[in-house]
Amino acid sequence: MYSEEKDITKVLLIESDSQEASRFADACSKANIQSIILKDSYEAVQYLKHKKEVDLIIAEKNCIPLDSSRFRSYLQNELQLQLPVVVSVTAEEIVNDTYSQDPGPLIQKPFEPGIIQYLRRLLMADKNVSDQQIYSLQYLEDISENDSSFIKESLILFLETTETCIPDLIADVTEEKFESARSIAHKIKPSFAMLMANRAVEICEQICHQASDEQLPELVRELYSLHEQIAEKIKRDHLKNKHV
Amino acid sequence: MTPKILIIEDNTMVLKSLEFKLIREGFEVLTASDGRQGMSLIREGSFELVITDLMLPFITGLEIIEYIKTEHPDTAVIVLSTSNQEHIIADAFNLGADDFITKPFNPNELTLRVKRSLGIRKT
Repeated sequence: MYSEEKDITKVLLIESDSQEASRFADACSKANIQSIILKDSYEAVQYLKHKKEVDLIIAEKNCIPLDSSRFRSYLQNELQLQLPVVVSVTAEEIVNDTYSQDPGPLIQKPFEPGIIQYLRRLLMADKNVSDQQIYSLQYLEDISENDSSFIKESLILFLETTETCIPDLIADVTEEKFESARSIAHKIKPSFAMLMANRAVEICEQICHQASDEQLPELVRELYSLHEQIAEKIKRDHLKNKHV
Repeated sequence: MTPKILIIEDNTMVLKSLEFKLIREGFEVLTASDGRQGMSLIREGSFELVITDLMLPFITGLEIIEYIKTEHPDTAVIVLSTSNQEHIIADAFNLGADDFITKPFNPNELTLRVKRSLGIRKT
């Protein structure tokens, strides 16, 4: 997938479930990574006020008292910390919440033994994405000769389609309905292609034709995370007054 | 007379883009978002050209091509495909499809292939 993985030496996890916390600590220990496990975002803020040298924070989506989105804002605006925050979500949270307020990288629970490798790739993917354009309107502009109403309608259609299909994709993978998952990836691939979201196209292609069943959950998680970033940026840049 | 084209595609974004482009080119365009709806429109009316996806809900693109080539042999068919579908495209050509366009389509290529397919049918 990626030729380069970002090195991680110290991770802060905000996790209220002791079993998940324990699984995560074990994975870190095996990878020689120091893990700081805290139960809520208040403890995390207190910790980070004094010790800022963590490479990565993983915050439960609905951590308290600040949820992951507010926690991230607090870090950036109040503590002036630009640390990567990955949000952990359950499959149910993804399926039941078609539009997350948490743009940015996400990981799905339960935490698995390969989580560290996945996080390294995720950070590198996030860096790559932020270094490049996450999507482009160039293709839509070309086919419509810059027709702004067509472009806007296409963006709304993109969101309507993907915000239904991605939770279905996650549900299928969770229930091990792999052929159905591949069929959904096949259906949404052209939508990403029309927005020139090349990494998303590549992931869909892998899901459809290259990846084994065992590899699908990780690819789907990455696609979900990437889609959240694209959707959030589209809404912010082009659909400010639209309710999608 | 304005050539009448039917597009059958379950990705709404692709469907609307094709419709937009072909209407701009001056064609009369009808759309269907699944195989059943597409088949129903084919039975109700006559089209100079049908542009169809292959992997469709309810009725597949291959079944649609087979029906068209049996019941409406004068209707041209262009298949919409994505990469890595070579074996299905081969089946489509064996059933009589005239051409194929890869998604997402190149606008100039679309116009060229549509006009060519319609021209073929006129001769």
